[in-house]
Amino acid sequence: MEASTTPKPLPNRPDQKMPPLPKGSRIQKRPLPAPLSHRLSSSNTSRSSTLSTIPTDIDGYRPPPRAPHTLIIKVTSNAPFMSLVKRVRKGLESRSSLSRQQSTKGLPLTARIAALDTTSGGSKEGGSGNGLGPVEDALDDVVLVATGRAIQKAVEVGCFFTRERDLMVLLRTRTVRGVDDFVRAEEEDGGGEDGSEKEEGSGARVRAVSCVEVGVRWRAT
Amino acid sequence: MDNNKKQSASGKAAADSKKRKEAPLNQNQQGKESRPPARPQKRVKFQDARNIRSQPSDAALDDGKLDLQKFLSAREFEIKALETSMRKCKSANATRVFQQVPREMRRRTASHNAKRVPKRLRDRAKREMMEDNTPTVEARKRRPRTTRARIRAENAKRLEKLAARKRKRALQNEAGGENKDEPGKTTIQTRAPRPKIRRDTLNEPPKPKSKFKKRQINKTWLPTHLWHAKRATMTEPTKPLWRFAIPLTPTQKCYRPTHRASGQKGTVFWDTSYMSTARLYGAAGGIEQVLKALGLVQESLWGNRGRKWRSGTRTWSGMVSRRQRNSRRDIGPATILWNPTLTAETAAPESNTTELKKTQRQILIRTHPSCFLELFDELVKLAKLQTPQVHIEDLRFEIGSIELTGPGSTETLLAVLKPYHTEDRHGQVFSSLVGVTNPASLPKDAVLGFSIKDPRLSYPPKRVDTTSKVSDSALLDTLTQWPVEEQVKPYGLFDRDVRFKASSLAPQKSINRRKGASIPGQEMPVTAADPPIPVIAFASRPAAGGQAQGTWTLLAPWKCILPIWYSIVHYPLSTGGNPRLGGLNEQRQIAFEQGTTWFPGDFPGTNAGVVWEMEQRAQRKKAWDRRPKGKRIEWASLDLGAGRKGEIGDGLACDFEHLFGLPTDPSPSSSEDQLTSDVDPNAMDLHPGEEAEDAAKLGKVHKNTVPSLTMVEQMKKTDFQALISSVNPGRPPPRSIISVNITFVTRGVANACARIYRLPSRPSATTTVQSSETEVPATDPVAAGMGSLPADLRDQWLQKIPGNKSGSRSTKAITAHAAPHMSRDVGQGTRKQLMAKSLVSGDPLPYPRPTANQTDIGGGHPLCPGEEDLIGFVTAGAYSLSGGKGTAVGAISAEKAFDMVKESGTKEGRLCIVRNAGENVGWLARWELV
Repeated sequence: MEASTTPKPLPNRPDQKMPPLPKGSRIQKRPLPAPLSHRLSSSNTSRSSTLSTIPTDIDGYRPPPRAPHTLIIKVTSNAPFMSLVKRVRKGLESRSSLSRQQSTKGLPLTARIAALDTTSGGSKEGGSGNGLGPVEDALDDVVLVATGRAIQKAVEVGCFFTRERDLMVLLRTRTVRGVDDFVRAEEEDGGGEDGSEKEEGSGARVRAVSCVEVGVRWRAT
Repeated sequence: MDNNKKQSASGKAAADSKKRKEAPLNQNQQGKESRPPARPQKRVKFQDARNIRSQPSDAALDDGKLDLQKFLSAREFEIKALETSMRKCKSANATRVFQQVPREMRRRTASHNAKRVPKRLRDRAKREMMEDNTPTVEARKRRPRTTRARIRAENAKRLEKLAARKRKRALQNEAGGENKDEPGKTTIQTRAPRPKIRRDTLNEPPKPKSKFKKRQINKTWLPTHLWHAKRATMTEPTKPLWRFAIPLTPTQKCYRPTHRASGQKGTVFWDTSYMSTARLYGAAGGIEQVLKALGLVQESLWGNRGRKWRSGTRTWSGMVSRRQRNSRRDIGPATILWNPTLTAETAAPESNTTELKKTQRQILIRTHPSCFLELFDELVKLAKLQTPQVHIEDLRFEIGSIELTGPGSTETLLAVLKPYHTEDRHGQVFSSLVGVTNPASLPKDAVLGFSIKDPRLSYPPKRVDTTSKVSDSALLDTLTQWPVEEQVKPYGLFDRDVRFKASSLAPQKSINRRKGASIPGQEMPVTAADPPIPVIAFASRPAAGGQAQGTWTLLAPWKCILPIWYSIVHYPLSTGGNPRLGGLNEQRQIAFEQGTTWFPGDFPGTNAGVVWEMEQRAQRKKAWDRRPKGKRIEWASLDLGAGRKGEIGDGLACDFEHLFGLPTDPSPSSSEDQLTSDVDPNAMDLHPGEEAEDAAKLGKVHKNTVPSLTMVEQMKKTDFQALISSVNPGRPPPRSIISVNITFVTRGVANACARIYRLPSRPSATTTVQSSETEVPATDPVAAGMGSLPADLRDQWLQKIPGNKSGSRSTKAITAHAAPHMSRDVGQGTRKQLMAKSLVSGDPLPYPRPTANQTDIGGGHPLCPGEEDLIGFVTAGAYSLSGGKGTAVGAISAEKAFDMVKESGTKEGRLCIVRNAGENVGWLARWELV
């Protein structure tokens, strides 16, 4: 969220456009990368250091870190609405303040000992005082991630939860980058049959995709 | 007398010993008065907890009057008693501690034994055992009960003595002859024997340890067999699959977990060492000719566009085929990989083609064991034709493999495979793949070949740190650029010596010793005793495309599979849990959920598929035979409506013979309905000699008769699409099938062997359709009742498509059966009159009542089309967890599919009706080429 002083080209209005596709080529999308999981480690590393390691988006936006317990739900455009609501509810219930005892399983011994100290003070309100607003904001219990046609659905589900008094719903926009292959049109339908299809006429390039994150969390009591 | 008495007494004692003795606490009760016997105490506790106190209701009656206050308080007390009882029951802990062990850990027998539960629960388990007085048996001290066990025990004892004698002698020798041996040791140095690899012939499986030799007489164990045998259902000992003992499915229930792990969270992994590998080496031109003869004739492979494949940085996967008399027949799927040469860069431009063709190259062909023999024979035949000759090596037991799929697969591999040489380009690229959650997001068919350290050095594997990744733009660069071409070296896995060196890993004992000497938690340094293990990892995309998960395949020397396996098994995934074990069934399940075909089950057009189908038929027949007569489907009496009786073809088979009018086999599948198997003279246009050869290759199942199913050919998706899109198309070859993925439009779930019909044609067009040559002979009794099918059957089916404007239900059918609805304004009198008339008139209900299918199923369900509309069979079908509805994979006649698409367009032409074998209800579905 840092305001960069130098005017940076926006991703949707870049200085240089991508070169046009070569004649006779066609785009083939690779699967999108998984939702980012730069979680705040529950170990002794300070939050500011974690913050600095978070990769920035294409537009220089540094997304807030995720809490270790956050449940990430990828929303597909044809997912039933109530199914999503139920999954969010289930996630929230298991992550209510009562049952949220952070597991130290799998951590090294030193981290476990450090976790013992911090948990006594209440892990949730750890960084409220040190001016890390966005960090606190991002400790969602459940995050819905959606791109493309699924954005509408994710926002609808988010709106559904705004009427619950105990919950807080935050919405962030992001940019994710996916990779596209461009292949020769005549060989595209080969599927597994046509084998390797890379040559100077084909290749891969990066495409920016709009993404919405809807964070749902319990209101601090 | 005395003797008798003694015996009876001892018998009594024996009988007593079988019963549980009292808990040990009981015996020294005198000493510890404070504690009552444990078991009765527990029983009292339970009884107390379960006892709900109540008050009789007449207590509230005061002189016949109800005292309301008293009554209410009594009820209040009762409710409270109930609640406390519920609470107490819960806390009384009626469960044993081993019931709390996670399901995946509870796999051994005698888990009531405290020694078998995890350490954290052991104390409680011990206490419980004491309280319950559970008898414990130590296997070691158990007396042999059967004769066989006694003989074994005696043998073991004798062997022990022998071994001790041998050890003693060895010790004596060492003490006495040390000085004599000294000079000899220094002068002669021997190397360990390498396994023999003969060229152009099949190789022997590795010699098993003598202890396990008897169990591997007619099969070979996978390198991880002992691990698998404890955790998975294996193939039956006497019935190995493809000469291997293959894990079929994990012992645990895992259908849904496998679905989750393969798509959303986690990893599924298999030991696919049974997959067969062969190496082909010789002049590049010769290899090219061989490959072209195997059907790799696409210009995209041999032109400029296939350069990356030929340089060895991409694989090719697809069906290979062999020439028959005047057509080609598919052998099976194969993956082909070239070994890069050091001079690949300079040779790349088309400088000197003749010289290029003379360079010595090597390729690796990886294929399924069910079609390996066929492919190997074909390869040998083709290789001998080349000048200079190309040679082939059977590397089946030299190279093993592991497959992984799921979002965590890349992470798992990253944790386990640590590149040996840090400057190795491929190793660097591989290590930079942190954060990839789908192998399909790599470039298509990408290959990475490098050497790794012994995974036991960094055992247990540590979780890969994804948080420390600086930016994902670097990863994106790697994925788009894929910088593996420069300084590519030949892959070590092709080299026999490198493989051999890697196979002679340091023994586990020495690793343990070194680990004990080093600081705990630290990775052990690599020493000279740890050879680099050459591996090749390649990612493949699913045929379905889209967001579906791809698969990693890891090739490694056969003997290095086990250490890699152990590390993979114990990798703690970042999303929690460990990778999940998969078996053959899971492989098929994942293919099915992705809507793709699985070899050999879904390829009845290949020889391997025919063998599979024949075995399945025999299995189904056996299961059917075993059922009592009243509980199995009587195929002959199946009522298909409109006067049609009996299942079409054999109900226990994907009866392509029936579909194409081929002669039926006398083999196990003997159907009830007498099929008139009039042999078409031109149906046998295949070379009989070749067929006989095939039969020999197919092996044990049909030694004397060639199943006529082998006359069915598989057609490729691309060929079919080309036919459809071409302006002046020919017709697909007769008796050819195409694989399809079927999705039900509304409801319905298909099983294997389900029948696939096309939509019946409208009456005007019937004559044209019936004239097609592939028609089943009309002598079939089943086809006789055709005339009574309704004329508008096609429209009835089309109305079943949701969102179809012309009414989702055929209202006509409903009104035909319901009583005529009277309008509101009919007076009461007239109603009565009408009713009386209808009762008196005695228009009797038909008896027996028409079956549901004859008129309607669930209210106006259309009938199944006739037999002439049968187009194919389902080879795998179920409710698909990924689709949320029933899907199926099957094969349909290419000719009929072609006609359908040509006649009624791509949309309506792809509709079909699927009916399970032995059922009379069909459901509307859509087919899609795969």
